[in-house]
Amino acid sequence: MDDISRYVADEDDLAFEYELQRTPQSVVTWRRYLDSWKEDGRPDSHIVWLYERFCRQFQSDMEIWEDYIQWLLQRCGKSVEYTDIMELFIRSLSYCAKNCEDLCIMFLEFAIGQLDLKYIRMAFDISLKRLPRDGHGRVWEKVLRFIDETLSPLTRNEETEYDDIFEELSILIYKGLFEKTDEGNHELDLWTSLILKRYLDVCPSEQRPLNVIRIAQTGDHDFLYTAYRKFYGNGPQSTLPYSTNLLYLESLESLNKREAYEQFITELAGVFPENWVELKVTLVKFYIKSAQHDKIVHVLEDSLARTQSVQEFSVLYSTYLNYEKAFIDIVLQELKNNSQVIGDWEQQVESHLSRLQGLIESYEIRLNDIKIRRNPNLVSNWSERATLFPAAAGKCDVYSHAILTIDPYRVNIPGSLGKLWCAYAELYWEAGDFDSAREVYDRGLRVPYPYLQDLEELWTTWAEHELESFSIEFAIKLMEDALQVPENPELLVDRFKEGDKKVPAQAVVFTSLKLWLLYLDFTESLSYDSSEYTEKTIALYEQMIALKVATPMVFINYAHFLQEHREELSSFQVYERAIGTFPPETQLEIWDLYLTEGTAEDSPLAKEQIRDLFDQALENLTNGRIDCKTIFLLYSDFEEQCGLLNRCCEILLQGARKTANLEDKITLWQMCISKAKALLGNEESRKLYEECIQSLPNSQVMKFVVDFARTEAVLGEIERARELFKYGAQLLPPGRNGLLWEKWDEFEVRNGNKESYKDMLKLKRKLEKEMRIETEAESQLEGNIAFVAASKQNVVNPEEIELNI
Amino acid sequence: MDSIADNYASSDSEIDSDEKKSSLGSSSETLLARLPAEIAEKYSLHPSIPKTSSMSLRGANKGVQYWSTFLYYEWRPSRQERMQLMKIVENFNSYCRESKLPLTKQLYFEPLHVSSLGAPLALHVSLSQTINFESEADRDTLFKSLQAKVRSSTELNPFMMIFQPILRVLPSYAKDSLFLILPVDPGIKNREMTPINKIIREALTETFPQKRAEEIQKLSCMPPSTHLSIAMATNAPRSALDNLNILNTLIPEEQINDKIEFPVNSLKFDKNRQVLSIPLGS
Repeated sequence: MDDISRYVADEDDLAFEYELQRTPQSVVTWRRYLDSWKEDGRPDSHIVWLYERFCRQFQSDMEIWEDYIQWLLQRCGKSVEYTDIMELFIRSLSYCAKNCEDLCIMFLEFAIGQLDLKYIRMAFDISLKRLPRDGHGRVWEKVLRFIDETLSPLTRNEETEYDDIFEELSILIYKGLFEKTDEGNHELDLWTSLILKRYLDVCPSEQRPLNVIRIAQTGDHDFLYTAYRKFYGNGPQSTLPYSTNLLYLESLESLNKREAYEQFITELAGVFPENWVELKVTLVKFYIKSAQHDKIVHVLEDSLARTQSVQEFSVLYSTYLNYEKAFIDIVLQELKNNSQVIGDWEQQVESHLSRLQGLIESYEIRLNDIKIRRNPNLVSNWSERATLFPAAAGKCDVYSHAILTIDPYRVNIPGSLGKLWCAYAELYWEAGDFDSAREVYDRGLRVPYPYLQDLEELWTTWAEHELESFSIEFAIKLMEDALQVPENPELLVDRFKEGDKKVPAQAVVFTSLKLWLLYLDFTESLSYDSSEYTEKTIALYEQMIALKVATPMVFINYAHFLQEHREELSSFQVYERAIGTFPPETQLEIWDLYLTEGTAEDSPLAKEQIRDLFDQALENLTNGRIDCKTIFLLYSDFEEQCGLLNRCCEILLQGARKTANLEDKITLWQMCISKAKALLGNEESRKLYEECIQSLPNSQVMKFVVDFARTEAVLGEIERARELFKYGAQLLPPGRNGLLWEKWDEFEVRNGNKESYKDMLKLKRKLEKEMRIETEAESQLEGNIAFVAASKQNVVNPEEIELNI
Repeated sequence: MDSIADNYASSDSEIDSDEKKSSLGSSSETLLARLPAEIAEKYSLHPSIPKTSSMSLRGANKGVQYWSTFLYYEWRPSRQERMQLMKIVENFNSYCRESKLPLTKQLYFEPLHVSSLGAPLALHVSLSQTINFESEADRDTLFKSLQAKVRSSTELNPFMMIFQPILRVLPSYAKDSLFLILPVDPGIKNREMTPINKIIREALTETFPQKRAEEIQKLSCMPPSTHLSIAMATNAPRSALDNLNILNTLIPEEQINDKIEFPVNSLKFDKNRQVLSIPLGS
């Protein structure tokens, strides 16, 4: 009050002062007094002096304090220091115990705005004390936002960027082996950590994961370690994001808790299996940093053996390769630069070099490992693996492992497993170890294959090897053993078909055409020198027929075999049986051969027998709607050779009539007419031409019309010939009937006169016109589709579609 | 068989020492290890094939479905040993053929160590008859019991099976064929065959508590009769089968010149088409 004279300057001031003396509790007077000073533009120090008096008078009135602070805030940084405002906040709040929520928040916001951690902390503490519990959320929100937006970015560790994994591993190896630094020397944000410690006690459980991240960002690993264990225990949490689990892992690394780290990362790979490769690489880096090199190879080898995809393999293989290279590189450099280095480094480098070489050499094999792991029952994977081993011993190992691994019931490619066994046996055979090869074949034949092809492969390969290296008799013995016919063959075949792979293919080996044919090949080759084998071969053919495994070709071979052994009649009986066995579609070829051989010069068949056969063949085949041009031709030739010329033509006529295939029909007509002309004379061809021309479509008939006309001309029937040309001319438009018009022209030049030639030309013009008009008229009939030329603008076509292309 | 015998002489890449090892993973550049025992055991028997219309797809008659096993010591002779066995059988066949006695003249023995197609086969010293079970679980029980007993036995260790250098002839179970056998050495019968027989009988008693002691004894092969069958004469004449004692006394003693023996490391147990091994002294 001593300085009051400095501030009370005029009559108005005095009036206000007297008024305040009288009514010090009048807020209105105080406000009017302040307003008048503000209006008068009094210095800020005067107004502060007055506000201070005002606030002292109403110490617990938040509104007045707020008003004062708001006025000061407008001057912050100009005439007022922010620290003064902070102190004012503190002072004001020290007087107000209640209803100061807004002031607290204002204080906190102001402190945060000034980035002053000391005052933020004070504002935060005061706010939590003064505000009721339900108002704490607002306070935490402000502080946490400040941490997230302002502090965390400042303390976040920037990941060191490396050019490639080799560089990264090199640096880590060097640091781990030769540069012992204090691992605990890292950035720590204790201010935030302390705040977060308090928050962790009160925060809702759903906020905890976020808080773990915040704690991690403070670098306070001790706190993170404690907090994580308190709320989540020792192991990884599937409820937390993967990245949050990694933060805890980092804290374990930072705190050098090696065992806990190893256990946690192993369990983490189980909880997040999609990240297992990344985690293994992280573990490798951990071991490198902590110089535990003895554990790295085990981890990498074990991990590579688990990979299921090329992508996973590539990451791990690249890490492994770069680790070995980097280790050798770093250690050699260090040995070169620093002769004081102590330890068995040279030995270690040698061991790493040998591993690196092995790693490079085994790349293809390791890739193949993945394929096998993904599908161990896919035989091609094993075959591919065998090719990666140049030596027979290595291939042997591959095949034996394959056989022990593969479940024959899960092999889906018929014959593939059998081929693998054969390849295995082949190795022994080529090495001259025939006993072992036979043992392999023998065991291979004991596998319960779902497919017959596997057994076929084994039996044929074994037999062929025995044939090449030893004797055909032994190969025959093998086939004899393979093709033993059971007592109830049909039942077994049914069982096999119904069995859905449960009945092994061994049950139906006797149905294998491939093996029967091989067996026949063997016995037939011996049959020319030994009657025993001739009989055996015949017995085999008979057995195949009885078992219904004989194909048409087997019957034909059987017939030929008998013919070669001078058993023509028996061979014809085989044809007869084949014809009785197979449907008409298959019979044609058999008949063809049968009749060709039956009509041969040295055939033992009588002519009548042959005729019966032809008739039977034609009846069977034509009833089955099979075109049998060759049989008609053969039959016709036969009758011609027998001198029955009419019959010869008659057969061809029948053929032409009964054959449906147009090409065959035309051939037969041609043959029929030409034979009739040659054997019976031109006159006889007239009725054939007539029928032929009527039975064939117009497009195919013109050659016959021209021939017919030419024949008539030869016979001197010029007018008949001309009429034929006229007839033919009307069958097709002149534009498509070039052959006829050309031949007619020649005919008229040779046989006609000017008049007839003119008539021909007149007819041609007329037909050109008529046939064109007819075409147009036809197309304009109702319902027919007509093209509309684009140039005809005035044509209205309701069907026309406008395409905007 | 002659052609197969001829083939033996041409095969020279097999080495006995190699054969006595399990060959998986042990390969050399020049010599190929023989077919691993694991494969031979995995595919020991041919798959069963339904034979009659009443058979189920599992290969057994619906009405009398049963499971079975057979216990034995197995020997996979090497090439040299196979030649030795072949020589014994051939010599014995020559003896029979050249003998003046009608009793032996009609006998012809086929070797058992090689199949009719020339593939080497394993030989067995039987330790049991074929044992039939009503359920698969019973068979598993016997296996587990044997496994436990063999493992805990202090008397059972890998040993060398030795045979007496004499040949004997025994009839088949159906009494329609004859086997040419090598009796097990008496010392082995007393030392090694007695404890395994005891274990087998105990395990059988546990598996079949309802069976009487005589029935259990019948299922196992008693040590005095243990032998190795090396050849078989099918369709043996009745006279030979009826006069086995005389036949055995006629067999000359000097038939075997070389010692026949093989190492025994495990007890074999047939299960379906595969063979399970119970290692001795593990």
